[in-house]
Amino acid sequence: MNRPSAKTAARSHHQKHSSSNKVLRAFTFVLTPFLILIIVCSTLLLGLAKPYSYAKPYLRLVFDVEQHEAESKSIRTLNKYRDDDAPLQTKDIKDDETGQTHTMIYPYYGDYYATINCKNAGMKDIKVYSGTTDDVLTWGAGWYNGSVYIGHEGNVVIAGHNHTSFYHLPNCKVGDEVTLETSYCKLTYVVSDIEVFHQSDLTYIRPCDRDILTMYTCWNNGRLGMSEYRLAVICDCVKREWKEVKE
Amino acid sequence: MKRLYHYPFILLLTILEVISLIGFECSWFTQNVLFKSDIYLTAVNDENIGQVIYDDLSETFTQFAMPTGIPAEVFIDTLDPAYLQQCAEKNIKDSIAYLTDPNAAKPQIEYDFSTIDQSITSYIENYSDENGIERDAQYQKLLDNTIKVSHEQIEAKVDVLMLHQFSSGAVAPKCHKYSRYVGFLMLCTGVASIFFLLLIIITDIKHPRDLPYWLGTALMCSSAVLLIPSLYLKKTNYFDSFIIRNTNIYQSVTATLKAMLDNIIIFQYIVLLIGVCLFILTIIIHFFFVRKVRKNASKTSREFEYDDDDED
Repeated sequence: MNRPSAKTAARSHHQKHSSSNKVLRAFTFVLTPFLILIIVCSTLLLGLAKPYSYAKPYLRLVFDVEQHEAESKSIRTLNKYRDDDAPLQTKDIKDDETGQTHTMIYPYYGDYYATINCKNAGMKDIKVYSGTTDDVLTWGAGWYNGSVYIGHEGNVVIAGHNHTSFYHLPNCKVGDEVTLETSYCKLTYVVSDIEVFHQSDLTYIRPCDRDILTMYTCWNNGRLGMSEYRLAVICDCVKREWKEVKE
Repeated sequence: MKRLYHYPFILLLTILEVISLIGFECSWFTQNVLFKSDIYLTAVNDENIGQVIYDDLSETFTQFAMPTGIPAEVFIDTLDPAYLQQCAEKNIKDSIAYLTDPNAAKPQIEYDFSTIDQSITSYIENYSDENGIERDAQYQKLLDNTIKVSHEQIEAKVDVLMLHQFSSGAVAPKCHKYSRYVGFLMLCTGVASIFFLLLIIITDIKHPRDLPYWLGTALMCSSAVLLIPSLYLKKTNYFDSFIIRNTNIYQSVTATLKAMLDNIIIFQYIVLLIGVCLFILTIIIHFFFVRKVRKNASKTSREFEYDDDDED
């Protein structure tokens, strides 16, 4: 019977050992770049965490990813400021005087909101949109969304260009009747005051306790050019009629 | 596969090499791409920015005509797309020079307003004469205000990358002051890269066949660190979410950022490719080396037939 020699046993052991070493070497060879990548990335992440936390608010100011994603997903054909299928914003309010409950519809920015009429001044069916940015004012007059919603008690502020929607505004006289109609109410006002103020003077567009409508436009005193002055027509509310809102 | 010698020490050196390479690439990119106006001008020219500014100003002055009562043509007819482009390019060059050169003067928008001033003045004068409006102090104030607003509009639109506005902000003096250190940082990281590479060579001088592996690994890792976030930004169109929606500014800024990102991606792909080539080269070298060693070993003695480790 032939017993394996010590030399053969050593060779067999070496072969086995060498084979497992080969696998380990191959793993080391392939995985080393990943190991280095993980270590370097971790080091950089740790090093950049603090600077990134400082820069993050500024980056969010410059790149508004959430808004961009929302914009690319939404459908906007009727009003670029909101989705076409955006839900109706309604709210039931209680009239303190009569005790009745009425439904109001709050507009989205850029929505067609109301119509103004002032027969004596020649203002007929002037469309009022929600907002006062340049593009909104090219469509018609603009309801200043820092003032109260139409129907609420307080100062409703509406602006318009003096060569388009509010061309006839300077024709308004004290005592003229002005109507402001939305899809949920109709308000009747009477002109009580006409003022010229500087654009930096915010007295007439601030909220107040009186139930009034303030319409204003650029006032060039009949001349051309950019004016620093505004003409404000202030009207007191005399009648408030509510409509039934169908959703 | 052959054994990698002095593994822990060379691994550490390679990590340091990768960090140095990343530092060198970033500072080189800042010094030679970000601090040069060429990439900005190329992006701006690709967008035909003169025409974009012209269209944007036409829209602005059309809206401007409503409250002023002055026809939009009074403003628009004085504008020339080629001249607007020339001013925008000059503004970019001056602003970049200010941000990168500590000795450069603060930039100013150089636009010849005489034509538009004359156009507005003559139109208002004619209108006033026809309608018998007195040319008093209020007349002059309205005229000056109109001219001033039109100047502001043109200046704002010509500053397409908002670099002029940025130059007058709080960060600009810091850029102005510290830009000189970017070159120094590039030198330091470059020297460090060479130093660590030499250390790797010296440490592993008896096994030159491993050198391409370590060098390839360093290049692959350094490129991957920059390539992965760059590809993420490109894939998600991150720059499209730029907040300023003014047409000319939006197009110029996003085009510039995308051009830069493309440059980074191309450069990193090249570095990655070199790294992969070196990696494959190492495998080939090792393969042939093992065969050669086995051949030699079988000729000399069967004892060393499978010994891969003692060939030195």
